[in-house]
Amino acid sequence: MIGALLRKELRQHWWAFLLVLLLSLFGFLLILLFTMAQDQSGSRLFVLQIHAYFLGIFSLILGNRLVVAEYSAKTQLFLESLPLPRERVVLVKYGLGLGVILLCAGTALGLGILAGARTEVFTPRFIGILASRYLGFAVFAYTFFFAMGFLGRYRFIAYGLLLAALILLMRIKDLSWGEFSFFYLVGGTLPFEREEFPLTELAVTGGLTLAFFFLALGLAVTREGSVSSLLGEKMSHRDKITLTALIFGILSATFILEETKEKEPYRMGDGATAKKTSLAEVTVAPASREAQDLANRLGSDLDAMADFLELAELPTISIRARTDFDPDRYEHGFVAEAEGVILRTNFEDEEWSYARCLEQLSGDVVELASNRRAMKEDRFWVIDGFSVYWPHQGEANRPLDADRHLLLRALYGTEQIGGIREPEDLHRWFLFQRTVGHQITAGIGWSLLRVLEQEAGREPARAFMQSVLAGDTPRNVTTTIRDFQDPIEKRFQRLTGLDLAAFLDTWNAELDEWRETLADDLASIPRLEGELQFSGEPGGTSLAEYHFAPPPGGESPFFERPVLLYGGTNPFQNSVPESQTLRHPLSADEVSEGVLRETWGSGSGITWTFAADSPGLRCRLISGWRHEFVP
Amino acid sequence: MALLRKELRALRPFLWLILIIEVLEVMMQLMTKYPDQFSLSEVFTDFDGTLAYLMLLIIAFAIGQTLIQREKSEETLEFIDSLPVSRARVYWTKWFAGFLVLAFYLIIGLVFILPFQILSLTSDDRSLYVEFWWPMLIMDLIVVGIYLMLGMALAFFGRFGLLAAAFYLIGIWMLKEYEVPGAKRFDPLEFGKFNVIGNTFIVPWGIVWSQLIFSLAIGFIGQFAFERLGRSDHGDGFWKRAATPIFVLGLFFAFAAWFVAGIITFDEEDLPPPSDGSTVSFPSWETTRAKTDHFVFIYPNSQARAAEALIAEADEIHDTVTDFLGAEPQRELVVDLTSASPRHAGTAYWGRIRMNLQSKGLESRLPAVLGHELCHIYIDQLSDNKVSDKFNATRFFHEGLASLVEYRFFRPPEELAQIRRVAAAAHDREEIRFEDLVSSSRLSEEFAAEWVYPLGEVFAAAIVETWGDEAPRNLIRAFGRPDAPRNLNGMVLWQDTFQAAGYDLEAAIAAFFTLLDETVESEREWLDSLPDFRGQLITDESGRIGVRVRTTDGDPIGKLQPRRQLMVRFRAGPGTPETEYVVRNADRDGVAWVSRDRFPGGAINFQVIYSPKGDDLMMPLFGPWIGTRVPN
Repeated sequence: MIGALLRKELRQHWWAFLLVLLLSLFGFLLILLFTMAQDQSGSRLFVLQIHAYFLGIFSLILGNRLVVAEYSAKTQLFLESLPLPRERVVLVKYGLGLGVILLCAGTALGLGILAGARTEVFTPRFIGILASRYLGFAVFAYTFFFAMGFLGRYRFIAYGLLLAALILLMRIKDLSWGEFSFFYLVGGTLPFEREEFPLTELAVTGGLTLAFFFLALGLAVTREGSVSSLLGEKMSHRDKITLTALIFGILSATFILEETKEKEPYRMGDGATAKKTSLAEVTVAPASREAQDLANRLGSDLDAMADFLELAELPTISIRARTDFDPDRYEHGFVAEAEGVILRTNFEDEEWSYARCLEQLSGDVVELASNRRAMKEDRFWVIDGFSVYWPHQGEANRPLDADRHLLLRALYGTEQIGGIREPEDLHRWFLFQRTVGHQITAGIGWSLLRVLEQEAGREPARAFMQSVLAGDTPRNVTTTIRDFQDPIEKRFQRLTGLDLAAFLDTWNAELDEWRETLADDLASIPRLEGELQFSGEPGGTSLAEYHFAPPPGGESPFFERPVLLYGGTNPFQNSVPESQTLRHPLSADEVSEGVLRETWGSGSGITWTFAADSPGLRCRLISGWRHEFVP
Repeated sequence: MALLRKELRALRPFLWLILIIEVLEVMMQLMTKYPDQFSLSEVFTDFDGTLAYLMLLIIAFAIGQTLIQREKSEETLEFIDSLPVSRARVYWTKWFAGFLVLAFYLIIGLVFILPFQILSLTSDDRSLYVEFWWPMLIMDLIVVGIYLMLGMALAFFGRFGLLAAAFYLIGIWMLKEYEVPGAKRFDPLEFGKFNVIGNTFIVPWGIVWSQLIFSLAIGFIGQFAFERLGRSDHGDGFWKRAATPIFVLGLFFAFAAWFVAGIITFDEEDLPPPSDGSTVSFPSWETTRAKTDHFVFIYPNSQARAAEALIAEADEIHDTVTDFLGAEPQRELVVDLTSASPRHAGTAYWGRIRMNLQSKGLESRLPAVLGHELCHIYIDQLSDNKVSDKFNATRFFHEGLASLVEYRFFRPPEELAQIRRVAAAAHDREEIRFEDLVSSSRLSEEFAAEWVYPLGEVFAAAIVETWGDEAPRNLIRAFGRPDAPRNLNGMVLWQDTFQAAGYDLEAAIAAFFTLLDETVESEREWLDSLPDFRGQLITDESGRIGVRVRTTDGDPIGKLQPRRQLMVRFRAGPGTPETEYVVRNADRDGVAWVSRDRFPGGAINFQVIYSPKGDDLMMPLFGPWIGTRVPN
């Protein structure tokens, strides 16, 4: 009777068996040819590693033909009417498929050994290790797909759940795919491991194989086969759509959970940590007395800032010395898995400025604390101003020229951008930044906050800053809706008692007064101008030619070290990060003309500006960032 | 219209599914982002185009299956035949209905995304990037039409249609791996490899037209099959039974024949010029095995002299490397000397080394190559393979340390300049950051992956100079410590490893750049003597694309020997795998030519490569990558 069963299976699935055998052989030879032609793989037995994936696909095909096709067509009812125990029918199917898979795997193994005969050192132990790993995987893969076949239409859900479980396990246990025992058997070491049998992996894979085998047998015989029969029914169209929608739903929910999960604070393992702080957690590395002092000072100042803005918590601050940096350079670090401000700077340099570091950190802390909401353009002037307002704060009523360099930035900047007369002008802050640079706009923002402090009083000004910079802004649509209902202008009036338009008039009047007082200084701040043009064949490649005329008189307290800053932009961006910006130094005394060394492809984006250091303003002057596409 | 309405009704579940998918997508955005601070660049950060088009292909196939199989399973064919329209018309109406559903999917996606972009407009960037999404939408509409034609035609074979599609995709992948010209043109997932220059989406029209014509032909076959559906005679039982096996086996043989044909016509432009038309073949020589204290060598008998000279030194080389790394030999090492790989003098993995005895130039110093490869073996052994597990972040260290060992112990001191000069040129001409070095893929995208050797050597040397010879082994052991966090990568991984080894990464980076600066300083005269090249993209009458190499002063290449000293490397875009790069020598006029067919995606990147005459450098000097459109 078993013979008859075998004949029936062969007659029914001969072409599937033939296809699998042919594909296995042809695929193996193809991969062998490929690896030999490339000669990159380190061993010809590498072909077995690739062929193992084929074995997985063949197991899926055989499992489907031998089990799924039978049960979904309900032809197993015919088999069940034969005078044979049900388990024997299943065993015949299992044995037949296993025989085909082992034939594929055995042939591949034999051919692999033959192919490697000239370049490998085969010992009985090496062959034993190879065979146990390779055939062990083949039996596991086949048994797995055979068992899954009995789940009928629910096998897709089972695949999904198993995949999710593996991914979960990888996340929890910090594993990679290759570390699962069954994958390890045919992983990267398969062609090379000559001495050690992976006993644990073989045992685990063997155990799983047995488990899936008994699952198949159990499903086939439970309640006289009615369970597998029920599961084997075909899915309706509606079922399929519902299942797909369900999968997408689960994926979306997982994504949302993952995205909204709070990240762990980043902590450096070494360095000096700030002492006697309430909220601020500042670490400066490498540890030294200087680092400890810096950490303590920053910790104390950031605590005060948190108090001023009523922040409930502060991100961790990690600062590392980078002794080869210019003293005014700050480099941000990013960690995907954690959150915190990570900076590298040369704080050991004599010219390094603490105030500048605090300016940098104030902005960074607010950016993180507000979930980047403070970076929205309509309120960017507040964070821009606050980053210099806080480090330079003093008595509310002290005159603006107490911080002369900031006042000059504000006067120069407002002149360059054409003034800020209406509240709507504040919504063009990013454009102002591109016109005069963010350090100058910080000066403008500072002057706005300082005048606000004088006009409305310190406490209302603080309340407004707190609302913009440290309000409760969860990163989702509710914040956007709330902002639509309570826009910045409305909030400004409610918290400061001032109408924004009227306040801008007052602020302009104050600046105009100072403009007259500081007219001489203001006149000596140069306006940078220059040209960059492309020459080449349109549609091909071009060169960039520059022309820069320095202000008359050459270097001055407001102008030194002119340079052309430029860089290629990525799609959908019109600027490049500071660290990616290229520099072309220019003369401070003579006209500079020439061709940049880079070649620019047609259509590519480039952004550029002429710039110079301005010690009098303690910042950089720019001619205005331009963004254009190479013709 | 009635027919169209009927088909659209049949596809209603798909419309619901599409709506559900899109609504879920929007919900995800609304629950995790600010809709008014969400720009298009964020949409395409981490966007996997190939996966997106695979999804589209799967949906198109599912719709195709529904449109065709449903008539059969619900036995509505007779009803169709009673209508006063031809089967052909019914078939194409079905296609149109499916197309409308898929177009709805594309357009609704855009409709959901564009409001975010509009809300997020800023004063310095008021662009809606029409030049990006409009050509992409046009391309996508054609692509879904193509996918649907294929899906409907293959639907006649039920699930075997999916098998055929899988075969097709695997076949295309293999042909692409073999660099068979034109293979890309028929890859339905090639559309996912976006080319954006500036903000303009470059539509790969060559691929679009090829696939459109191909799918139209398939579509007409599908129409013919639909006309025959349910009209078979009673006497064809055998054919009905045999149809599936014939289809599957036919598919297999067609695939095999197609593949073989592809190999035969393999990359004609790469083949050497034909001589007398006959192919000369040589026998492969038998191999000999020779055992030493630590190794088993396998070498071809034809190269016994070179191999045996190496074998005589092998154990001493081994001990030098293990002494330096403080490693204990744990296994017998196999050294296969039969490699003829033109790309590598040697490779090493898990106790096995392959070396090419025929390699030319600097790498022909075999003990140095063996020392280099042995270093790789012991780095992996000492770190329990953990260094190699994070290869993208550690490749420069792996190769750098192996190069340090190679140059310090197995080459005369004067040869050090040959690797250091490459590092000096790289540092002098490009803005390299340490972050670029700890990402091999980024180094490859922006500069040259080959720089892991010279820059890595300088880094390893800086570590040794700062903390002594034991520093590399301490770092390697720190990688392999059992309690090391496993999900770290890039800078954080290095930070953690240095800390665990008791060193300061910042100090190492500072030492690295200091040593680079010193090298630049000491090689200043040589560096200044190097010409600076730029490439100009040109085309010729036959449509080839060329890069004319000139010095940055605009001078022609003058006395250089272009064929020997100048090369140009081409690729389709920054994401192109290194194996798909095409390298061409410059001709007498200093122009390197390449076939336009290599770049059906419409974009091209090129890089000038220069080998200074008389300088036996470890590798040539690589210029910056220039990206542009393929000229018309």
